[in-house]
This record gives sequence, C-alpha cells and structure tokens, in this order.
Amino acid sequence: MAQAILNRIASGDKAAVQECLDTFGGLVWSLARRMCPNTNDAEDAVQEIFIDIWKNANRFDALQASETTFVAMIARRRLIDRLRKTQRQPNIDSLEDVLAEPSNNMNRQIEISAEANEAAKAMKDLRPEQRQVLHLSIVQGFSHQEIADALEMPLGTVKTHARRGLLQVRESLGLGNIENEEEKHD
Amino acid sequence: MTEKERQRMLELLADQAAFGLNDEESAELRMYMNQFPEWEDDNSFDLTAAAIGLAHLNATEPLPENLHKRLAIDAEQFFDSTKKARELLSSASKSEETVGGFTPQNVGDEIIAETKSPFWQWLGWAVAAAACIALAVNLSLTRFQKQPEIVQEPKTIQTPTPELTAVQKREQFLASAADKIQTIWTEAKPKGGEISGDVVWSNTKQEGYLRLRGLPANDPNKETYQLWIVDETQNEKTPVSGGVFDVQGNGEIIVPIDAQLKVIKPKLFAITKEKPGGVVVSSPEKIIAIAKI
Repeated sequence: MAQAILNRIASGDKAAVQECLDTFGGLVWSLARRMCPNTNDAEDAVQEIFIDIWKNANRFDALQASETTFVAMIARRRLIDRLRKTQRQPNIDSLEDVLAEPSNNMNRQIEISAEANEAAKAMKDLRPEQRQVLHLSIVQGFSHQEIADALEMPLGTVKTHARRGLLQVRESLGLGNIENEEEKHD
Repeated sequence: MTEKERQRMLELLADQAAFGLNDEESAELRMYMNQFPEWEDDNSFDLTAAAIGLAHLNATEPLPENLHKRLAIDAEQFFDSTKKARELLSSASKSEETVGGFTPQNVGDEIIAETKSPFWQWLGWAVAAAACIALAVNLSLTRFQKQPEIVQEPKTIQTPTPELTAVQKREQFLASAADKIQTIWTEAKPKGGEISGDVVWSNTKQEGYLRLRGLPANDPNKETYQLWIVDETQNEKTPVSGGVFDVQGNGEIIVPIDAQLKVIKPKLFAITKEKPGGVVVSSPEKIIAIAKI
C-alpha cells in the first residue's frame, strides 16, 4: 500500500508536498472560500492552513480518519481562528434551506471522504434544532452568540444543541474512543 | 477524572470544534489537558466537525494557479528551515554539554515529534520554540570557542524603541497574562445592539483593555467617557475608576484600563458619560454599557 502523503511529508519527503497541493489544494481553497469574506482573505487563509498541515503531518493517524478529513480538520481550526478575529457578519439561511438535503451531491460526498458520507447520514438522525445549530456553526461559520441572536434562542441552549448533536455524530463515526476506554476502566 | 470533570472536558472539546473557544475557555481546556494528558491527542470532536463540513461541501474549486505557486514557495522555505533546525540539533547533540538543563536533541524531539500539548495550541508555538532552540544551540557552541573575541571598547548604539500601539499592547497582554478574564459589552439600555466589543483584565498584572465598537463620538470639550470597575470586595456604590477616554471616529477603539485603585475581584465593568476630566463618583443612570464577569 502506498504511504500516505502526510506520512511522507512528516518524514521530510519534499516531493510529497506537490502531491499534497494537487490532492488537497482544491478542498482547502473551497473551505476557505466558504468561510472567508473575500478572495484575498481566502488566499491568506490557505497559505496559513498549508503551513499548519505541514507542521502537523506527523500527527496524522490513518486508523482514526482519512487524510481528507484530517486536512479539513486543520483547515477548520485555522478558519475558525480567523473568523473569531474578524467577527464577520454573515447572512442566516432559513431553517428550510438548512434542513434541505444535499440530494444531488451524495456521489461527491462519497468521493470526498467516507467520514463525510457517514456524517451526512448521522446528521439526518439529529433533531431539527441540533442539525440547524450545527449547520449554522460548522457549515456557515457563525458564532454561538450570532446563532442565539438570529434564532432568538438562549446562548446556553445553542451550546447544548451543538454539543449533543456533535456527540451523536461523533458516536456514529466511531470516534469516541478515549471516552469509551475510560468507561471500561471506571 | 470525576464525572463532572469529564462532562466539562467534553463540553469544551465540543465547543472548540463547533465554535472555537475564547481565551478563558482555552485556558480552562489547557488546565484539563495538563491534569489529564491522556486527552491531549483527542481530535474526535474536531474530526467530527470536519466530516460534517465536508458533507455539506457541494463542490470543490481548483486552486488558483498564482496561489499554487505561492504555496510551492512557502513549502520550499518551510522544509529548508525545518532541515536547518534538524541539522543544528544534530550537530549540537554531538556535544555532551547541556544548555539550560536540556539536551538540545531532547528539546528538538519535543518540537519536531510529538508534544504533550494539544496540537491546535502547539501550532503557534512551534516556530517560536524552534527559534529558541536555534539560539540555545548557538550559545552552547560559541561557549567552547578556544579563542574568544575580546571586545576592547564595546560600543552601545541606542536605538529608539518605537511605542507600541494600543492594538499591539493588547495583543502582547493577551499573550502574556495567564490569569486574564474576558467579557463582552452590552448596552445598558438596548437600542438595537449598537455597542459591542469586549474587556480583558488581569488581576496579577493589574492591566487590561477595553475594545469597543459602536460607541458614539463625543465632544471632549463637553463630555467624556469614563470606565468603572465594580469590585466584589468593595462597596457597589463606589466602584473603582478605570480612567477616562474619548471617541473620535466610528471604528473600533482599544483603550488601556487605568485603574485608580487595586482591583481584587472585578465582577462588572461599566461605561458612563461624564463631564470633561471625569468624576469621582457617578450614578447608575449614566451607565451606557456594561460588561459582566
């Protein structure tokens, strides 16, 4: 089996960098475009994200998630940091738009990562309000306060919906390993 | 780990993945990570959020060509600097001397390989740490020069230190104040959410900053804004003055807090509008904005 791109980067293989850009460049760019206010900001964000990817390549664990999901995670962390600093004022989608299934995109989701496919299925099982909060926070990048103001919902309730929704999806993805191990030892 | 601690840890990890954490929450999470290092590498919530984000990614756009070229240059520089750091560490490890209680190789291992800190907090410190390692190694090597230079007439050139801006001072404060607290402003009499921003404060440093947006400009000849700090240990009717300030434009302002007395346990910050120069005692009716701890 070919060594993962990130593993090769972690071992100092410079040739793997070009492959990294070719494989994940479009993904990172698309995520940045979604969460940044303009193209210039998105370009700056992408540069920062790739440096983060190279620095953290040694932390990739293929047993835990795919490279695509790992890269998306690093991208998200950087984009959230930037959003918190700029305090963007975005538009809110209606609940109907949020709950509408991305029905034409299942094939693309499968291509993107297996975890994304599983996450899409798990999201369907969430309560509408949990799904809405997660969509607004994760997909659209709103802060909890912005969501609370927009939905006229107490801040604590927004956080509770997000937490419970994430816990449920996390369980569906089989990612709650540490907690499960702790329960065994309790 | 108690059940209460575990629940709080899960809350913080979930909040971090969904919304990000403020400084206080980040500090709390770091405290838990220090106490329970088995959780340090837990990426499960972040991976879950990433998977959800990917599930809603309708299409991917190709990376622009100019950006691709810039990234290739970034990669070259990144890998060159990493290689140099490794070489420095490798040459230093041949010496048996230690620097500052650490062997350079061990410290390098901490940076290049796994760390004990959560990786999202390690990110920003890795470059600074590598620079410190390079400096420490350089010092250890130069200590063993057989013919050190003797400077006969050291010349000191004093260069003026540029004054930091309020933004820079605030950032420096945020980076250095371990006990900082933060809260956000709300209008005392809401008129549509014009005033926003935050307050950060450190009891240890007795230093803090207001950051405000939407506060109307004032005529300094007629009035001024004054900050008040309500301390739990003092009478509410006589809060501590945090200084006066004026607002000239419409953008964001950052104001250093100038507490007239020592603040022990702040529970509320308030802004009033007063006569020029401020007052010794104000009244609740003049409160324009408050920020509760």
